[in-house]
Amino acid sequence: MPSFLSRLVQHRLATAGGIVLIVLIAMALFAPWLAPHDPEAVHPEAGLHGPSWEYPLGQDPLGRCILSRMLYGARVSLSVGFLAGVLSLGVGIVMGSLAGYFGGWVDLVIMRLAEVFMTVPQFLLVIAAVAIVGPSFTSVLVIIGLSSWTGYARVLRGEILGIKQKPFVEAARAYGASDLRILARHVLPNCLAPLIVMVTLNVASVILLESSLSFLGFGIQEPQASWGSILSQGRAFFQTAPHVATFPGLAIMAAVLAFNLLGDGLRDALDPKLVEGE
Amino acid sequence: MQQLLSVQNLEVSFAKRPVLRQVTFSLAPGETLGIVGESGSGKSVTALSIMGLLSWPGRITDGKVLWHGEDLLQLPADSHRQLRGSSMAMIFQEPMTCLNPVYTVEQQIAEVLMLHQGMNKRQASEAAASYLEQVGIAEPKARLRNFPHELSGGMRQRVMIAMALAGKPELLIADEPTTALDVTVQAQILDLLKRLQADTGMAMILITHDLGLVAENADRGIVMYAGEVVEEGTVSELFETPAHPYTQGLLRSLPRWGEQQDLLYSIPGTVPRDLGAIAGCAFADRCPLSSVACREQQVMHMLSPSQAARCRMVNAQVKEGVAR
Amino acid sequence: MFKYVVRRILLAIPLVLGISFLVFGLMYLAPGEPVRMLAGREASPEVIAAIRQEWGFDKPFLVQYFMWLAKVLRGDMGRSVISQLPVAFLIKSRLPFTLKLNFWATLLGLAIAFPLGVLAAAKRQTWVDYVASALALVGMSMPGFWLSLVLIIVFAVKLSWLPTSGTGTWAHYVLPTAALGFSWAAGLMRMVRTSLLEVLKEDYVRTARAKGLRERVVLVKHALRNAMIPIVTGLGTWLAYMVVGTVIVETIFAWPGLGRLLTTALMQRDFFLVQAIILMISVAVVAANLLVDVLYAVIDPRVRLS
Repeated sequence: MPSFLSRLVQHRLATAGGIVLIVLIAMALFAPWLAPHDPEAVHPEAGLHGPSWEYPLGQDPLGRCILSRMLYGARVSLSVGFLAGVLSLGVGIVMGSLAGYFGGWVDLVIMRLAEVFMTVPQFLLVIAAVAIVGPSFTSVLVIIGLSSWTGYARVLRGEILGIKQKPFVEAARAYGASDLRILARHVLPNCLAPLIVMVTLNVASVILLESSLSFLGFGIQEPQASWGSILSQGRAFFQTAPHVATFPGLAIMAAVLAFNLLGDGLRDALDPKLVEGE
Repeated sequence: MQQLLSVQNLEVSFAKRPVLRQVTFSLAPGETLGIVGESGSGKSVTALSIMGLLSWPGRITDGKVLWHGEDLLQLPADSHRQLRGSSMAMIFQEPMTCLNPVYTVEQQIAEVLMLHQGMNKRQASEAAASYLEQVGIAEPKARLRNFPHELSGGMRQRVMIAMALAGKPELLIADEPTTALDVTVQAQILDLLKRLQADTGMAMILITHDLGLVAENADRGIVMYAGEVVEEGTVSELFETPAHPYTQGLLRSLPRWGEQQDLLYSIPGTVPRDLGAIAGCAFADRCPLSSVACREQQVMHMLSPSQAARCRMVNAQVKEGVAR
Repeated sequence: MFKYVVRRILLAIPLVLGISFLVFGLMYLAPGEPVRMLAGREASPEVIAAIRQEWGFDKPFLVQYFMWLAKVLRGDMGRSVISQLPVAFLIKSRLPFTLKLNFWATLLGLAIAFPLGVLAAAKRQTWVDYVASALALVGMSMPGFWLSLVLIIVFAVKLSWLPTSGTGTWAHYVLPTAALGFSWAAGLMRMVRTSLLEVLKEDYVRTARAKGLRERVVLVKHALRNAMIPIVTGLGTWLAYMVVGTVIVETIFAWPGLGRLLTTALMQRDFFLVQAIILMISVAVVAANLLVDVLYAVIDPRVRLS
């Protein structure tokens, strides 16, 4: 593990990504203390004012402080990213384990299902499902989480199919180890590396997806803010007041870039294991 | 007689780690030189340096590679490229992976003919068949249409040889040409190389870890150890009066006909990894005769007009104590 | 080769059925939604009951699915609840705009990604590689809608060179094509670079160099041709990229294509139309993947013959 950490730290881009992430997470955690204004305090007469001393990033069409909204928005955008990532990891582990463990028709059904989910463009599936159920923090989070499990399931299934044939599994069985124990002790640690890399890259794509949904109006709803929805607010006015769109856009890009860099770095640092896991 | 190839004090590093030190040898037209050594001894790196195929992070740091008296290392990269595949050709150890999987045998041979012999597509296609015939492939017309994965390992190596011949080379470098093949096929390929050499008069460098192959196929040999040439001589000198303890060790580890041997000899220890850290003889750690003086820089000692060894003890008549 | 293609097509049939089931089931995520949609929000219980019977919503779910599937297979995808026009007609009228936009964006993406990707791989660990890779990474992380807005601000608002919406002249194509093409090119470029770097380590590339071929020939004829095998697999995700991009770019640039039809339909809860668009695009993805499989066989003789 220490050698892995040192390789990760040596990966300068990954370190940069990690630092950006820590800063963004800190901003989200300490939003109530950092925000100069109430993110929902409306001042219609001051709508679309550009950056000033009092409002460092300017005001949105309703006169709300964009900096404060972005700090609170970081909570929403990042937690959707993390929670949806973790949810899809969970679903993927369950589906992949079932498919790999039972094999036969269970495997067949699950893998066909995975194929269906990989073929229907996720964006269309999510935007339609969110529109039908009704857009909200929870629905966005759950629907994205439920629609991106396929990659994890495939990795896990492959790992289980490979490990089933190894002699030590027979041995563990003979000692009376339960299947769940074998899964936890032998299967998961073996595919930890690819799973970690996948989660990191997945969080990046979830953040991008949520921001696109919110931008189109099918994501986080007023008065709650996410980076995408703040940007969406300014869309109609961005020709005259570009600041409303600029700053949230930069925040999304920074977060996604950071996760991508970290994911690449993790992949490189974990590489030997990644090769084994395949 | 003018030498065809003369390598002088060639030094190569991989990302600042030295892998070749002071490599010097030469080759006359039509001659066969065997280069023997374990993996990692620098045989292949030497060959790739001559061909100008050394790839990142490998870098030639010093020395000369004279081709008909002209230093290839001073040549513009493009002039060196034009010699490749025509004047000098190379075949490799892994015939399985050395042919491009997405092109037919015909396309891969014709490419050389069109590039170096200025043929057009039709001429190249016909000539390709005759080259296949020359390397002993039956039904050459049919084989031309095959993709590499449809051929056996021995066939692929023959195709590689046909490709090399297609440039009419003066020098063929064969880097472990039979290591990856079945024993019966090995002999066929070596016979083929010998016959082609007799037909065309080309010179050959045969790179191998197998001393036996050198004995049967080469005129002269050089023994490499840890990036250095440790001994050089005619084949009979190397086999009958080996001077360097490493060469002697290699010979003792060969199985021999008619002798009862319970255990094959093996040289104790392993090849050193960081050559940059060694000032003196790289073999000293494994050598039964080593002493403190071996830790200083060693030079080649001449034993005859054609034999030399990089060992301090040569003068002290190691030769008499040869254990055989 | 023929057998290979036929087998691929046969394998795609259950997949298409699975997709149709998923798309059909989507409408039932909100209980009673299709009925409410047809009857309107404030319909009386009697009206709702009548509609349920008329449309077969009182039947079991599976029966409804097969009734729907039978209609779809006959080309009847229903009518838009809002405009009362046949869904097939609406799609047909919008499709050409989307196709044209996607065509140019794909061409732009290929024209950027391949030369840059090959160059970055050929000159790895030099500033050329660093700049190209950095551009790719930024491009991949930049939300498409934000890129669109930046392009509009710079080229339409500040410089007044190009129009921001409409479809009349070639100038109208520039910004939407660029917005759509760039984001896709970024990912593709990375793919080209990594695949090519992998292939450049292969023995047959060394053989090609040993033949004395020019480096350009080695790169393009010997290395890139082999690198195309993983790259073509990556092209399977091309449509998925394009779909997201199209929806967003068309919405921003008021482009009268399928993407904007979809967002409008979603906004108006015109779900039969939504259903039809998703189904159609998904089937297009299946077709694209089939095409990729065939391309595979064309590129790689090992696939063709096995």
